[in-house]
Amino acid sequence: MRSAPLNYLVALAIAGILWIVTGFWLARYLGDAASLQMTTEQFEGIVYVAFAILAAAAVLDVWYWFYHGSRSSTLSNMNGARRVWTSSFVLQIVLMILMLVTLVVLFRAETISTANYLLILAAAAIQAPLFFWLTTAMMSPNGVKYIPWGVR
Amino acid sequence: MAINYVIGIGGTGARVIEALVHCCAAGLGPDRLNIFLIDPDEGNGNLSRTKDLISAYQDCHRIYREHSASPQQLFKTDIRTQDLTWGILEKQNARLDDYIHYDSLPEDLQGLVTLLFSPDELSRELNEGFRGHPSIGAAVMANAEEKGPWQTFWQDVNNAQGEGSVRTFLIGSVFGGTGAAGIPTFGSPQVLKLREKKAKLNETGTSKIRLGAALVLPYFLFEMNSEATARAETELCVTPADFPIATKVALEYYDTKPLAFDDIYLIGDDSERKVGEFSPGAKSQDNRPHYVELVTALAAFDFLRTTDAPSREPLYFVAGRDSDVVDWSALPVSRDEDKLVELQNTVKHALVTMSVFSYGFATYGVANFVAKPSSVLHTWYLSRFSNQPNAKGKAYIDEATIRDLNVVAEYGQTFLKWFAQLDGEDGRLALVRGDRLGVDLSGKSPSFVGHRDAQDSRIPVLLKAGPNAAGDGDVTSRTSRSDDLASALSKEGGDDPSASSAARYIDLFYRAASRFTDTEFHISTAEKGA
Repeated sequence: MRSAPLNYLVALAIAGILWIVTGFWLARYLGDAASLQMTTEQFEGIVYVAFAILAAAAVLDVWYWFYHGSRSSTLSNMNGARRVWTSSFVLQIVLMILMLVTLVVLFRAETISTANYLLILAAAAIQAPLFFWLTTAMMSPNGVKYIPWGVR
Repeated sequence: MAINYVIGIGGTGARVIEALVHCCAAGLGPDRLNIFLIDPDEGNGNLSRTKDLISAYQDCHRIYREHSASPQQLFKTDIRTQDLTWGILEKQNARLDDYIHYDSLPEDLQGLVTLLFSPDELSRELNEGFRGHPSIGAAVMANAEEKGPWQTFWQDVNNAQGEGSVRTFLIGSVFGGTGAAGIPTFGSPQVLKLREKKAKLNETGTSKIRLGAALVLPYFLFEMNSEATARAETELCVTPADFPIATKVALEYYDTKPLAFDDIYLIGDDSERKVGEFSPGAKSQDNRPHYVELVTALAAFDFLRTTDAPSREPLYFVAGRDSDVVDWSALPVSRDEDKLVELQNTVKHALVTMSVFSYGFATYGVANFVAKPSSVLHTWYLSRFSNQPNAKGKAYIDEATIRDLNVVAEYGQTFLKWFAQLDGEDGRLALVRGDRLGVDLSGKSPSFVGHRDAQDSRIPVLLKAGPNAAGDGDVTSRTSRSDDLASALSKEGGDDPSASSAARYIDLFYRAASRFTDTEFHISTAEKGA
């Protein structure tokens, strides 16, 4: 699980499954639950794309971490490696918030409850920072496997 | 199994023993070795340094070898020292005339004594050695009784069975005082090899002792300032100007006298490298290491490795420089031409691995075991070691373990300092780059300036290119770009769970250092242990 290319492929598969759960089903649910000005198809399309972009960014971030963690030079600079991991994790949080803000702007004419926005935020958290933490905690290269928070 | 004794006589003997101990640390020595030193100048800086080193080595051997069954070569040799030093003289401030009871001798014998020794020689206190006058030392040592380390030696000889089963190797200079006196004295047939009721087996001259010696010819100079020159003119001592004539006389003596050596190694160097300031003896006689001492230590190992029966005539081996530059391929490591290259590579691999280990352990290793547990992130550490006593399957790093690991780290620094100082400033030695071993040679007392920073584990490029190497640069490895010791550590597996925590930590670093040397320096050797 910790060696390439298996960890790269498993991370991609997990991201795909999460996208189906968060992006696809959430969009379908919100499309039914919310009172929309735009068509349901337009609404769902925006949510699909937003979550797909978020998932792609998360996968690329995880892949970069796998690549960085497998380099020999990384092993001699573990503090640097921890900085890279932390930066990547924070990036996922930032992307999650950016996506939420983008959706708020795009859906400003729609009637979407705060509870539903919190649902979107939770789904984005699963799709981005939680996905990043889970995959790096489970499948980081051996030399950096203790870097993700909470693994030790 | 043969019993091995190496006896360092005088200042040069002590310095060669220093090199020999470092080689043992690198895994080049035999499994078991008895060492003792002969020097009346107990305060001699070279002697003190060697005694401290042997003590540190024995601590490291205990920490690593007695608590693990590792097949690695590190600290392999069990160095035994019942009584490390034989000071020859029992009384403080002893003088030669006291020693031979000059005043109570018959008048005709007093006349003979005054014919052989000058008044200055007779009345000089011998606390600081024989001041380059072997005739004094010979008179004193020939009268040696079975005391100090000799007691153990003769017990071992007594218990030994068979011809040549106690391999005894003497090391000393031919141009000084103590060594020049001691080697021919102990080489006399009746003193050691053919001693009645002890070593002699029969009337045909066979003995339990196989006796070898390294006669170290002049290989260094002292710095003689005006004060030292004035002192040398007024005091009884030897200066570099005396070396050639002292050597000539000594070699003529060896050529004509029937000594009992089976193997004699003659080793010298005419590079006239300065190893420190002039000192007739005592603490101030503390000289920088010289590669000839390494060569002499390797000669001792060659002697101790020999398994063939002693020949009837002594075998002579001569080593000196063939060219201006001495590189690894110029080291005379074996009498056997067929094994020469293999053994040269073995020596190179062992010393480079020891350097990598010492550097990595004293920097990266120390940084990790002294760090706050929460700040250590390395897989190689966290998967094997713990600062909690009950961590399942992990070695507990407690205060006692840290103390032991610090002892090994300090030995590593001592090794690096010695190895770095072999590197001369004149470019005539192409073995290692002293400036890359993390040792500051600028001061009088070199100190370790390695980076105690876990981030800096890269081993510097440390090998020099020989005169026959392509290009004019140093032997570079991929180290500085793509690989390092941390990477090698992360690839190691197969720990011995029964070993102590300190032994596991040391073993891990040494295996990684060996792997690093294999991959980075490409030293081909079929057999890494001598």
